[in-house]
Amino acid sequence: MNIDVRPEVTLEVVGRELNDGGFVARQQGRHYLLGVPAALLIALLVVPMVWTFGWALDADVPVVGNFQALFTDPAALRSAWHSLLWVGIALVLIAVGYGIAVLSLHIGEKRWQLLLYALIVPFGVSAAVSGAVFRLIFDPNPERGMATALFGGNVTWLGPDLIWWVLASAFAWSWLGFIVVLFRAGLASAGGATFRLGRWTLAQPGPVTAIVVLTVLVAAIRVFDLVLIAAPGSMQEDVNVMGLQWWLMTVRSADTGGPAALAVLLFAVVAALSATGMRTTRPPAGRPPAVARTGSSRWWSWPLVGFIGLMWVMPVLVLVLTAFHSPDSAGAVGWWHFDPFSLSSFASVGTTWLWPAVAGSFLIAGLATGLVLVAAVPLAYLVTWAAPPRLAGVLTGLLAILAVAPVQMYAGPLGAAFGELGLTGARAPLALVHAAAGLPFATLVLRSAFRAAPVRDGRPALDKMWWRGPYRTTLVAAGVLEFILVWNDFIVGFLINGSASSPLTLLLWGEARQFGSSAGTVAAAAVVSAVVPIALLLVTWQRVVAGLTGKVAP
Amino acid sequence: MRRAVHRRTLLRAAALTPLAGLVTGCGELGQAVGLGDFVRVAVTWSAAELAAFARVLDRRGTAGYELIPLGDSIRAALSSRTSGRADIVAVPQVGHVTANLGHLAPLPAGVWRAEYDRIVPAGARRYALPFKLANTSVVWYRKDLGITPPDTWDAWLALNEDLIDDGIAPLALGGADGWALAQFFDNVLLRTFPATFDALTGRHEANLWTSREVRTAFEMVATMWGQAGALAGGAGKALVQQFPDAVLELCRYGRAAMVPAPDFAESVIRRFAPDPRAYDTFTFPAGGTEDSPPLAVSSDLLVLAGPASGPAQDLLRYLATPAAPVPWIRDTGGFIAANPDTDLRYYSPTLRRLAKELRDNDIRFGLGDQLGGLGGSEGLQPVLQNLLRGIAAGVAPREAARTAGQAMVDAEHRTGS
Repeated sequence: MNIDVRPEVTLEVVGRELNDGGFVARQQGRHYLLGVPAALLIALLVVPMVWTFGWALDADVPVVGNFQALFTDPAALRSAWHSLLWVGIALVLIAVGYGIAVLSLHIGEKRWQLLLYALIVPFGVSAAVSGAVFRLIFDPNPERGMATALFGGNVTWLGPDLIWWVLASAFAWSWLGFIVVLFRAGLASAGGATFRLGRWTLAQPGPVTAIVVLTVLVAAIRVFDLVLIAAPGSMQEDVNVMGLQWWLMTVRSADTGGPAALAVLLFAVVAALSATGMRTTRPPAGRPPAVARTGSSRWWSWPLVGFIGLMWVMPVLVLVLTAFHSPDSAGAVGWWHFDPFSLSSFASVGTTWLWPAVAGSFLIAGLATGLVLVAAVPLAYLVTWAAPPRLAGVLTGLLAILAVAPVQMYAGPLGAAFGELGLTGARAPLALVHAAAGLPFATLVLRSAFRAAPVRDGRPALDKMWWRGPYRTTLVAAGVLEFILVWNDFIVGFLINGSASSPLTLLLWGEARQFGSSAGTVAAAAVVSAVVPIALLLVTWQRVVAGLTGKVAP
Repeated sequence: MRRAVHRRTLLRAAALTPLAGLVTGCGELGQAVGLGDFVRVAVTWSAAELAAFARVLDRRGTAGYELIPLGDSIRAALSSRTSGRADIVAVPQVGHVTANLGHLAPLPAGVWRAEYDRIVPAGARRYALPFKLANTSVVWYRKDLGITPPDTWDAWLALNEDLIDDGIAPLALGGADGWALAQFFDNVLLRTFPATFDALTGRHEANLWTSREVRTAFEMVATMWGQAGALAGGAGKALVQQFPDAVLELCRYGRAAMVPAPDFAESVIRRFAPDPRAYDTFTFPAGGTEDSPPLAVSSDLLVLAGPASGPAQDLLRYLATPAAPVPWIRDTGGFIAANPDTDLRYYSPTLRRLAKELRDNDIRFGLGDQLGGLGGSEGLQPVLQNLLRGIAAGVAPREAARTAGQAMVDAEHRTGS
């Protein structure tokens, strides 16, 4: 049997439970070949990360020098404080999302469906787009900014006092749907189990909690493009975060040690947070007591659904209505002015830069998704079914660490290598980096879904996974998530490859340079940028949720 | 059975071939993977200016370019560490060119004009082609208020006071764009203490930031901005609105009587004003005793990323011709061609006057162009934004100016200039 010539035969054998001990041992060795594509991709992350560690430790005072400099730099300290503030915002949001998920069990199926669509749409939108939407709503001109107009022009939302509220709202708008939907699915599948938090007994959302806490915390500490696009230039220092500080340091000086030390620090914070998050959300041993739950609607369910639904749909409406004003109208007056419906904002971006950028984003996201699946499915298979439990545990731990590693950990050396090799601005290599960056998370998603999938007749054959319900659902979920993550990415493309690789999100930021007066073209580009992931999400969300929680799609 | 599958595959392939041909024919595919003869042009412009530049390129007749609006990250497009590969980059600051000569290709032969020598410093001359010039010593005003253009700083202060008494805010500022504030300071310093301005940019002496002249300039700025009722919407709003929004305060919402803004404010006025002819300009008033101090300018320069392809060189040669920017000048406005042979008749009367002023007067690049980060995003810009913030918080102008002066000394120390 030759694995190179006839892989399908080998893989079929891999999938069977075999009793002949010697044969299994020989096959065991070959199992590890399943990890080869993933190992090659992961090397693309690990090697630059080691490099960054090297830069961080290399200073006049060896090992600690760069860190000492960091702790005496007021700008860096301030950015670290702001990053911690984001963690607090994320924790509050997770708690609110959990509360809404618990309440949502009492609002009846029909109303829940309505709420669901309002909540899920923003999750498909990139941080750059949601930043643009909220800056539009809170524009300081009463003629243009809805929130400013409502308060009679007396409030400067984007000023030093309120800018954090604007940013936190934008973040909440993007992430609340994800939190509520997953918690609700978890609560439903945990069948009324409870856990204790201090004095309270709360409904247990199950293993999905780890994914929720991890994803939202990491998203909060990685906040980058949201701040860049939503905060006016004069407010950037007030909302500077570690990720942005890293970028400013690399742009302002050729020193590699300072930024590397900051990246290591950021990495340490993220890793510590996610380790704590994983530990505290581990399901308790034994069968906990069940809580009584009713599925009937309560009197408050209509106001609740109405309020949240309206708040969550409103930004979408603002964006779309602004986009359908002409550039001259949208740049001077808000969407509520009844100017004639116009496609000229779309035409304006269409004739300058939009379509090559859309093509570029499709290419990058499609290629990265394909690469991730090709590498992650065999690796997840290996970790779930083929590797010994101890090794599987170690591999999973490593993947979890890599999944939360901030881009800044590998952006420096990779960017330099891209420059040396003349690859900057090229799209295919960027897709490769995206695939490497997305691989750990995709593998973890696949693994947890594989484990949760009902086992009917032993482990499946690798090449048959697509044809079996639960696994196909999982592959679709992982693929859709990866496509959306890459499509919506700003930071990987920006830090490693420069804006000239021109994915949509980066050029949207360029278009937004003169934000208010460009509102029409910015909104038009944002709509185009948001349509693709939202459509994808709306078509597949049931499979995505089922895939993430390990259930069979209906 | 087997044959049927085969035939179906063939048919499918046959159906797809013209589609594939269409895609590659449009070049979208080649463009998407970064192949082909596409010239990638990176610019800072957005919105109307970007559309105007697209018309400039379209007029050439071939669509073989891709426009990349990089906004403020254009600076990174030139350096190698977080760089993106564009073939032609329109650089908004001379300083960026000199700092990145290693990544650039020399200009093609025959595009250089002797007149460019006074725009581009000697070190960058073979690499950076001036395309757009901007006269930044300009104040736009509403003609309907009966304003007599002030020719001295004191006359300007008095005019502001009269306007405040009449119940209209004299000034609008785009404080969210640090450069807009920095250009105001450039003008105060250059047109009041030109010798100090030159000494600062020539770095003849250390500790010039602590000099009496610089302190006075900061005080002049703080006094004008800090006058009660001087800024439309108050200092807090001025801090978060951008440059075009300040122009809108003048030409659309009518809440400000004047905007200190470069000639390119014209593109905003033409787009948004009900009547674009209701506005005129005066030269930024001189504060000192000197006769006709120099004017402040900025320029967008075209550079070729090295090694330069043939099509990229051809496109640059085209952009160097006198007629190339005509669509921008005629249809959008707010563009002064660096090429001395560009026909003046395409300009609006106001822009024609501003273009002539640049030809006839001594010119200086702003501190941001000449001092890099210290005159820009790592020094002067945040310092002036903080000054504005102090005024918004009720700090006395004199105190705010003193803090700003000290902050510049610290910034000089920090950036190692």
